[in-house]
Amino acid sequence: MWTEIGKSMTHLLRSPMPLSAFALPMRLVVSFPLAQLLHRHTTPKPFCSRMSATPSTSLTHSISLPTQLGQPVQVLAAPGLSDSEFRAAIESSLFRQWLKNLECENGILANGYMTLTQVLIQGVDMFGKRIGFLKFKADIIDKGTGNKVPGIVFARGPAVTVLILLESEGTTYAVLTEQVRVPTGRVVLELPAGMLDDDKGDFVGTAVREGGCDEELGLFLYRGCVDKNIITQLEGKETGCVKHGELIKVRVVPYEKLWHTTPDAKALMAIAIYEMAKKEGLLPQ
Amino acid sequence: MWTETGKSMTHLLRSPMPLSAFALPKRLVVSFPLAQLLHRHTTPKPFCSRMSATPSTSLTHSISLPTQLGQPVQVLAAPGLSDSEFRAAIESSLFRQWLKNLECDNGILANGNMTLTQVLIQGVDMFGKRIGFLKFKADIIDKGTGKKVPGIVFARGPAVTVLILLESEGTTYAVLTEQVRVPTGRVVLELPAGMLDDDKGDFVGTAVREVEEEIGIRLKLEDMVDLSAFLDPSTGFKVFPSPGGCDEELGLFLYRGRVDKNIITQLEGKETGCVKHGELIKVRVVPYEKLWHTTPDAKALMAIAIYEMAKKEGLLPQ
Repeated sequence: MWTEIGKSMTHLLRSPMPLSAFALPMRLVVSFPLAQLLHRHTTPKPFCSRMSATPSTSLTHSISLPTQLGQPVQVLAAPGLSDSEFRAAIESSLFRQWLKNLECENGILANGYMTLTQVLIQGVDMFGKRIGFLKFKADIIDKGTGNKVPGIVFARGPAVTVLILLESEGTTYAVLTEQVRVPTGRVVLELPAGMLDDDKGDFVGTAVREGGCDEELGLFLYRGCVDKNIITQLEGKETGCVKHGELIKVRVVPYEKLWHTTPDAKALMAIAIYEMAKKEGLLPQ
Repeated sequence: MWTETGKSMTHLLRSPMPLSAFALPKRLVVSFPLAQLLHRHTTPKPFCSRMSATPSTSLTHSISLPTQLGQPVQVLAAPGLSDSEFRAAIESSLFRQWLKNLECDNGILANGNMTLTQVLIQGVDMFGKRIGFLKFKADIIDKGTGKKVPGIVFARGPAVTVLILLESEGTTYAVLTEQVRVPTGRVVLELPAGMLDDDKGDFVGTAVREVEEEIGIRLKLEDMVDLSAFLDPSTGFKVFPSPGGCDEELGLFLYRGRVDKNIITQLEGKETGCVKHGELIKVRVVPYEKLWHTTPDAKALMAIAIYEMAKKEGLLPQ
């Protein structure tokens, strides 16, 4: 992840600047006390009320949302999901954040035209004791047409990425990671990035993939000047958290080639914001 | 997939294009007979051999891959997955394409340092009779360290998007969609886009069709500029929106046109989308110079990056 690379550069003076801060959206960052208001019909002791067990052993759960008080949301477990997975899912910050998103300013439920009737929890991927990914299907109905909008969600929460530009002897280099990316079946060259491990995420985010995935990405820029030997040492360096199965090689690419050298969305997005902000004179000196 | 894009690009040319726009990635295009070789241990009649049913009723399936002939891959069904879902999953083009990707040039299994031991099919989302999304967990082991690499996959297959730039009375506008995006919980402003519906890999055709459905304008095939063709061959000429969790490969196109002001006015706020699929789309028109900071959409930012850099380097056709 980028912390491995970032740590080795802590002696450089400037701090990363958020590229996504240039984005307009007036994002509502919802804090925890409001989250408790959203879950008004569950008691602080988990699963005491509104939790029914049917004979076919599927737990259900009912949630009241401020935007649709008369219409509680039914949360169900898909066949094969264990009770503990179901509980972990509905208590997870991934799920709570998604509910908060629905009710924020640009949120789907904000203007009252849509109703969330039901959520089916399909699957949970645990990263040790934490929920890593959540997969669920939400039934959101447009009141006007009665039609259901496509509602399948692969939830992974927020992440962050850094465009690291190091200048050395007149050339600017970008510092990248190269690693096995099983979903693509390939080894991929990317900007360093990582998922936010906890609920403290407080950056203005930019959505990476909206039609299927909940991920919001914060983008940062880091600029430094280094001796040539730093560049040489970085190229091909092996890093990553081995116990998590991370086998990462560091790669260094001349920045001017970056845009066509990598298939990585993060790199292209960072380039877009960086180049446009630079053109408009918005970057700090 | 990409070969279809290559074919439709030959008539795009008005002026000489840089060699890199035509370079073909050294990808192994696996044709159907070879696909049968990949599934050597299943007979053409589906599920006759190597398919075992255990007393707990979970089907299993065994696949032999050319890169690891001595070590067949076990494919299992997670609890709760029906037999028909399991079959649909392993027969799907989503899953087959993922296996092909593993063995291509930059593929994880290509150099023999890694082994795929097992795949657990966790879930299937059907779009009518077709598989829409697949979720599975692959165990890929690094032979050197014995460590398993992170292997959870949300598979949705390839998609395509278009940056539509319309010039009118001296201002260039981008044409966007605004729609409910349930995974984000919000209404999102994005470039028009769509998933490729079939196995034919027709990126440019899908792009034209999606724009017609989502914007209501018909773009001319010959005016579509393939932005992803400006990428190096090692990229496969596609971008990955989220390679850590999703298989999606995206093709990006550019369309430039000139219109009367009334077209711009008519487009803004127009309601489109395929109602029976629950698509409720509003068309939005945004001055291109503001686009980069107006939308949180990755597709828009990626298209801007390639467009601006290609333009700067004089690579765009006139």
